[in-house]
Amino acid sequence: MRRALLLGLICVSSALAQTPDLTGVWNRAGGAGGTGANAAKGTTQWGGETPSYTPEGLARYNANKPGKGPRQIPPANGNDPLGESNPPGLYRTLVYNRPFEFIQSKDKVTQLFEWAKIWRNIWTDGRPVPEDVAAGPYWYGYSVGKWEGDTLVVNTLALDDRAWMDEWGTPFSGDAKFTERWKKTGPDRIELTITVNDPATFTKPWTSAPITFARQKEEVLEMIFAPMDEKVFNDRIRNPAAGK
Amino acid sequence: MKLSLRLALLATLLGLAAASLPAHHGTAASYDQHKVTTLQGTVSEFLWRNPHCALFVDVKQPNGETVSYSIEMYSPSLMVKQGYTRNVLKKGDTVEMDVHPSLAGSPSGECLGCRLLVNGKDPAEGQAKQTKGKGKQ
Repeated sequence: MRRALLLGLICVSSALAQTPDLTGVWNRAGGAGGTGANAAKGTTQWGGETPSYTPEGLARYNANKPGKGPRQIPPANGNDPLGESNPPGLYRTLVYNRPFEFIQSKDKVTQLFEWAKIWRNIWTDGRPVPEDVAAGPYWYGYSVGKWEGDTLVVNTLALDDRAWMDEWGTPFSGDAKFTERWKKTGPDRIELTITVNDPATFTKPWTSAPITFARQKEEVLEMIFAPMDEKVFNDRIRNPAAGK
Repeated sequence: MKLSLRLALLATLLGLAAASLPAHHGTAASYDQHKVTTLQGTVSEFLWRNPHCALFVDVKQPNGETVSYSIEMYSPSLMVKQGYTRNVLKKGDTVEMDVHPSLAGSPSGECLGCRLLVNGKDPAEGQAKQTKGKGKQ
């Protein structure tokens, strides 16, 4: 009995030891999205193939009027939720070029984001991925993760579909289920790929191009868009720039 | 003090649009990334705030009229990375700067890492300044 227990403990401890350590500050280092040579091809900032939209998804895509990307118009004439200081939401935050910090503990991995100074937990305590989250939706969803070798595989659902998936106005529905694959490709490199299963929006599951994150030396600071500042910005900068 | 507006289409600035840093509101969409306007004037107000710092400059026109220009700049955290501080500009300073003008033709401009002289000096000189297109949002 004691021997079996000891063996079990060794196995658990060995598994923990093999778990990659993501702890630290990270930021975008290339891959999809971005500008210049790193500019995403296609219609999403996440890169990959242009999604195949359902009629409902296409209607939502066309209704979104972004200030960035191939469909960009002056923000004063668009309908970007950020223009009124709404939360960016999870996936828009992940594809944006701002630092975040991973904090890793035995039962969860936490991300602290500079953009909007917000966090999310990825539960790695073995809990099942829920079918639904009664109190949702959440701007940053509900996430359960597990390690597959050097990759943290994260299932996220219960997302508020008023957020955009990126800055280019890519939509998703409230029933969308995302799978993130955070692969540690080196001591200072992580690669992220997302797959979204959302039959209301896409005719088939859609997968992004890989996005690379590099370890940073800088601290995660604060980037908050206070409504009182946003209003001043809109009234005195954004709108006049568009002749309004 | 002589104040003047010099409108100049500087070099074509090949590739600048593609290399420019988008800000979270899609700044590039509101301003002509292929044109540069040189402004000279006096600071009437400077807001060191998110989402973007805002500069207001009184610029005297050739006809003697003074027009207030609104200039969109980086967020405070990115201004710091450009070598600036919150005290970089204050009311009454004279400035000379190259901005991308508003596409709508309004007295507005974008200065994300643009050439900026305050009272005749580059306030970020000697600082580890990131060039436009190579910095982070």
